[in-house]
Formats: sequence, C-alpha cells, structure tokens
Amino acid sequence: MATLKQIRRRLTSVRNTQKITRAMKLVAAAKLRRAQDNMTRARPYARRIRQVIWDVSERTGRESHQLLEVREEKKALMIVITSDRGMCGAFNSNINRRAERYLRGGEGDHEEISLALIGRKGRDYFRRRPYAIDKEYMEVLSDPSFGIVSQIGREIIARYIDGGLDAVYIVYNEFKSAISQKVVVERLLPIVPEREPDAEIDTRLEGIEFAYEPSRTAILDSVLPLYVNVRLYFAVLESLAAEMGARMTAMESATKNAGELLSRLTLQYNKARQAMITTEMLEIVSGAEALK
Amino acid sequence: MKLDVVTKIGAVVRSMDATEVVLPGSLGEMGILPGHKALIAGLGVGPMIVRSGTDEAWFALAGGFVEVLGEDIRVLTETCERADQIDVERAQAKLQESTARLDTVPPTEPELYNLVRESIRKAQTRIAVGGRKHG
Repeated sequence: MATLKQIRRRLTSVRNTQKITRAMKLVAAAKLRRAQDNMTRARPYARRIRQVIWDVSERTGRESHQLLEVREEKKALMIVITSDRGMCGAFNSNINRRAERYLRGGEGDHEEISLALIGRKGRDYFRRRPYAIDKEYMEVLSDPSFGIVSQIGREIIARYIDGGLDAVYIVYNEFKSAISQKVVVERLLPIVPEREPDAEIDTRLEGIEFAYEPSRTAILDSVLPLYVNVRLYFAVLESLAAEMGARMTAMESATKNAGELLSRLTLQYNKARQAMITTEMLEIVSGAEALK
Repeated sequence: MKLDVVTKIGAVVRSMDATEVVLPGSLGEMGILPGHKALIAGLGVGPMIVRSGTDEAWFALAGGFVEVLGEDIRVLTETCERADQIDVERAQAKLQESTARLDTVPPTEPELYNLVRESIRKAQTRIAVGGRKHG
C-alpha cells in the first residue's frame, strides 16, 4: 500500500494537471470563436467571387481559362492541413491516415503525386514515410492571415500554369460543430465553377448581357486566382476551427478524468490515514495494557 | 443607387446611397451614374469617390471587381478604407520603405518588383485619400 506521502504527492500532481487541461480547454474555446468569426466575415466575399466565376464561365465556357480547363491529371499535388500542436484527440491521425490512404490506394489515378504540408504534425508524420514531400509550410497556423495563405496560393498557381502540376487536391478537417470534424478531400485546381446553392435567383439577370471591362478573360484572370486563395484560406480556417473543437473535447474529457482520479485518490488517502490512526491507537492501547 | 462593398473582413459598406460613384477601373477611372448598363469591371488600386447630393466620401480601394446591375453597385475588393480610418503617417512610412526597397529588387525577379510597385501604389492611394478627411 502506498504511503500517505506518496498519495499526497500524486494528488497534487493530478490537481495541477487538471488545472492545465482546464486552461487549455478555455484557450481552445476562445481560439475557436476567433476562427469562426473570421470565417463568418469572409463568407460574403467568397460567395460573391463564386457567383461571378459562375456567371462569367457560363458565358465563356470552361476552355476559356487555364485554371478552369480539365486536363489529364498526371502530376498532382496534395495539400495536407494538420495542426502544429497535439492534445487534440484523433484530429491529426485522421487526416494523416486519410491522406496516406489516398497516396497508397492510387485513388486519383495520377502518375506522380507529391505533398505540400501545412502544420507540423503532418510534416512529422510524412517525413518518416516514403512519400515525396514537395513543400512544407510551417508558421502558417499560428497566425493565419489571408496574406500568408495567398502567398502559398500564388506559388501553387504559378506551378500549375507552367504545367508543373495538372491537379491540386486539398485534405483537411472540416468543422462540423465544436464536437465533430469531418475529413474531406477536395479539388482545388482545376477550378469547378459552382452555382451558389442558396443564392436567391436574381430574376433581373434573365436575358441581361453584361458588359465586361476590360474583357471576360481579364476578369477571370484576376478572379480565379483570388478564388483559389480564398478557398485555401477557408480550408485553413476550417481546419483551425476543427482543431480547436477537437482540443476542447479532448481537454474536457481530460479534465473529467482528472476529476475522477482525484476522487479515487482522495478516498484512498483517507482510508490510508484512518488505517494509520487505527494502527497507532492499537499500539498505544496494547502498550498501556502491557504495563498493567 | 445603392452601393455595397465587401472585403474578406466582411461588408465594409452596406446599401450606401449614392448619386455618383467614381471607381479606379483597371483601364482607368470610371464614373457610374444612375441608369448605367449592366457591367462587370476589374478594379485597380486607387480612390473610390461616392457622391450623394453635395456629400462626398472617399475610400482607398485595392483590386477586385465591380458589378453594376440596375440600381445596385456591388464592389468586391481586397481592402477598402474610409478616408477617416486611414493613418496617413503610417502610409507615408510604408511608401518610403517600399520606394527604398524597389531599388534593391534584382531584375531577375519581375514578380517581386510588381508586388513592391503595387504596395507603393497602395500607399500613395492611402495618402491621397487620407488627406481628404475633411473634404
């Protein structure tokens, strides 16, 4: 049986751990709110861009721009977004496993596929495995601004345009709710124009011919790269929100477990203390008896 | 007419009344008056002027595009700052910094050169618009 001192030491350590997990949960909650906030604010922007791309590409056809054109997907790039830190349950292993399954299973039928990694956990995972890592982007997640993400986007678009890449995929955790995430694989390039699902159909658009200045292609030239960056930015924000949600859940249950452990240890401590008192009393009584 | 401006940090201008809007089109300055034909136009870096009667409001815009349909003018841009929100001193510092940097860009990097040029234009716009606080 553990001595009183040992139990007391464990109690203190568990109590400290619980303090930390509780604090981490609160921090995650605050960061989750911030990521969600950024998403909500950027949403109308993304929606307008999507709408314009749809409108313009409907009128010009998909052959009209390199970023829209579908070609044989020989050389592909896969962007994997993980987190920089752990303590968020199965968040990272879900992502890494999904990406690896794609790479191994040849789902996309590419001749060549390489990886671009955002987040330390993905880097640590794939470095130890035999896949071609093309680029590692660290220091994105600590302060994810549109500017930093656009830089990545610009690089990728440049490579896509000069034929170094035929397709770009992105794997990340989609934020479903604070307690659930979903791993998704999406194609970033070539761009598939989408109609805004919940856009109110503007009846005034019927039969109206827009004038384009300077030209439709010029509009696409500026809007399409923007769209790629916006989607990448959203993926990073989604992933960040999902990470914080996962961390909240993980820390919540860690705090609860620590609580359970504490009450078990306290019970043990009290029992040990009582046992000790009983033994001492017995010793005194029997000592007194012996003197009679 | 009603003017809306969205940026990635949300709607900056919501249903603002306007009788004339001047925008930094990618082909040069363009003015939009009521009854304009349906239009989608690319935007460059420059000032946006919104007039409503005798009132005039200045904004610094950077890139994006404008959609004009009926009485609605919808601008989507990278950044949009109202004149009274601009820190002119900071813009001036930025202008100096970027101008100095322009000379250090090697000719082998045209892309970087363009980026620096653009930040110079942005700073110039902000200075010009910021100076209009009371105008």
